[in-house]
Amino acid sequence: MKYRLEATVSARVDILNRITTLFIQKGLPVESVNYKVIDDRLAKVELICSDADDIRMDRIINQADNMVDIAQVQYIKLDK
Amino acid sequence: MTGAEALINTIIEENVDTIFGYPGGSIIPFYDKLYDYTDKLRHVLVRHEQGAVHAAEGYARATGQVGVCVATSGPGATNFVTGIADAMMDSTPIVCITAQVDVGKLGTNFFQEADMVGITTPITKWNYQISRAEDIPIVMPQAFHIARSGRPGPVLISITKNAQVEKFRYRYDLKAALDRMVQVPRRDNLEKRDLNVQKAIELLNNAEKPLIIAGQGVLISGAEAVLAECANKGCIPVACTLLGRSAMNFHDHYYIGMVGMHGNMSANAMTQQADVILAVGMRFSDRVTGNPAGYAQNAQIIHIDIDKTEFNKNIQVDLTIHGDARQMLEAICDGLVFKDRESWRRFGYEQYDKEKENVIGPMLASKKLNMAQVVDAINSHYIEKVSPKSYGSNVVLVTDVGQNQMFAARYLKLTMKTGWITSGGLGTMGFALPAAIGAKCGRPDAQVVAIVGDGGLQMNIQELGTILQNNIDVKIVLLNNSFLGMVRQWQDLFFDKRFSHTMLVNPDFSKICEAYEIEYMKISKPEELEDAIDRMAASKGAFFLEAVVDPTANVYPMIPGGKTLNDLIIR
Repeated sequence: MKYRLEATVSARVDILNRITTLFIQKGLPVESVNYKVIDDRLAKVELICSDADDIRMDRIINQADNMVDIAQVQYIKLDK
Repeated sequence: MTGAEALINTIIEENVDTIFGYPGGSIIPFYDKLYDYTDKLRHVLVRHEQGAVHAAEGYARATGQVGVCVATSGPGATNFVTGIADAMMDSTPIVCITAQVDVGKLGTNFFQEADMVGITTPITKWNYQISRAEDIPIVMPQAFHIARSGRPGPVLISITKNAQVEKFRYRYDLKAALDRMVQVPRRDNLEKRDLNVQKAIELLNNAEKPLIIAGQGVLISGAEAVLAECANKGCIPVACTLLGRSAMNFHDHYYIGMVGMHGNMSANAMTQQADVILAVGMRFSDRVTGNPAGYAQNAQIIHIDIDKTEFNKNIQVDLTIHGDARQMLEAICDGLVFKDRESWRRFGYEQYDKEKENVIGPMLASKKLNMAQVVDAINSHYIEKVSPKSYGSNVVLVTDVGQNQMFAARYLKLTMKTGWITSGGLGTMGFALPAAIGAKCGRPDAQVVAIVGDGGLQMNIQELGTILQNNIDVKIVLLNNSFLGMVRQWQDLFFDKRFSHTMLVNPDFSKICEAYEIEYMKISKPEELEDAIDRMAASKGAFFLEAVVDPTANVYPMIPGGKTLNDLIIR
């Protein structure tokens, strides 16, 4: 199943690495990443993962939620 | 003030009295300033950066404070990696400071440049590269806060050389620093949590065969006393994980042993028989569960953890309670009612008797000296004889990884007050010696005993130099079987006794000790044990006891990899 992860994050240089690492660690393929700085501290990230399931996405969200540089995170299931 | 001086000041502000480190090119400005602060901040010069990070872990685990270690850029920093991963797996609060080349030279393959933020991202709780001196008073308080809060873990701070030498107006303001963190305080669903606590109480009160499994979370949150109260109040047996071994007194009537691959038969059998399991501050590691498909199939599982990523990760549980172990246990304890569960407890005792008869008894009675006997002798001296009243409260026991660790975990009669430091999650050989040094620096009043194997000792044997230079009073017990014992055991049981590359030809340790000016003694018979331990305990300063043990004595019981807790083998 396809999922979109949406996060509000700290606008630091390595934040994309941090988020994609969550997927790499679980062997999940990332299809696209969108990143936009919204003010001097925060940025928005949208990431599409093509082959995940609810359980693994929940784990990623829990892990992301624990990360210091992520202010808010959620995922949406996309239809095929 | 320069950045380097500011860095030292922030460390002192965080009440750290000892740091472990090794200087090098890019960190010279820091070490130069440190020279002026020797009265306020003790620096222990190690012999290898891995030693520094394990020492910081030992310091943190023995004191409950954040451990700090320092290294230079490039190779110095990459030598930290194993220790950082170890601290991540075992939730140990450490702050690792590594130097970095000038900000203008980043990415040019400069001499001794390595991207430490990139390398350590998956194995740190947080990391940050400071490239301007004025960021130091903001980032450092955040680093310490993150390392010690919630589920503790390692934080890496990479500081460029220019940030160490730049001058700026230094002002330490903890609140301002923490206010700048982007993470918004999570509003946990407290109503749901309270409801789950009530459900947990109900489940436990109605259970016929309840069991509590305590992990390291109990120790980190200081919930040992309330755990014992829960057990007493509800008449519920308690098992511990490897890292949570000292969460309950060995002699407590409700303590039934350690769970897991080399755990006690009582604890594993009761896990399989239980109808309700309350898991506190533990993570259902594969070493605890065996094959998850066959784990505790009769039980409804309640899981308390401060880290919600642990919920339903390895084992699907029935009820999750997200919160601090002590607070949650207190809430549960309030609602528990006593229920006579004599036959359930008797089941545990029967299993223990069976283990005693088949495994523990023959092991301790063996004519050939083995690891169990040595550990038992350490036990009876350091926990029972020396401090019968304080009951091992002033003792810190550190183990390496492998058979020595499993024998120690199985045969030590630890109490809630005894320090117990071991590398569980990552299983890092070479951990014990530097961790014991760190523990002794953190708790100079305690007697620190490192239990090591011949393989693990030689992975960080250079730290004997640290003991020599800093005059550190650590008792080292080498369980020498001239084999990589645990691998040998697997080869013995599962690989047709083909002992491929596990035999070690060891040096003469007496000569090594002579060179490092450490008192040395060697034994090879069970009857020599008592005198040896007495001599070790009476010695002033570091002591090295080499016990030549039987290499064929395997650790039993054992649950073979991939099998369930029911498939335990005892010989």
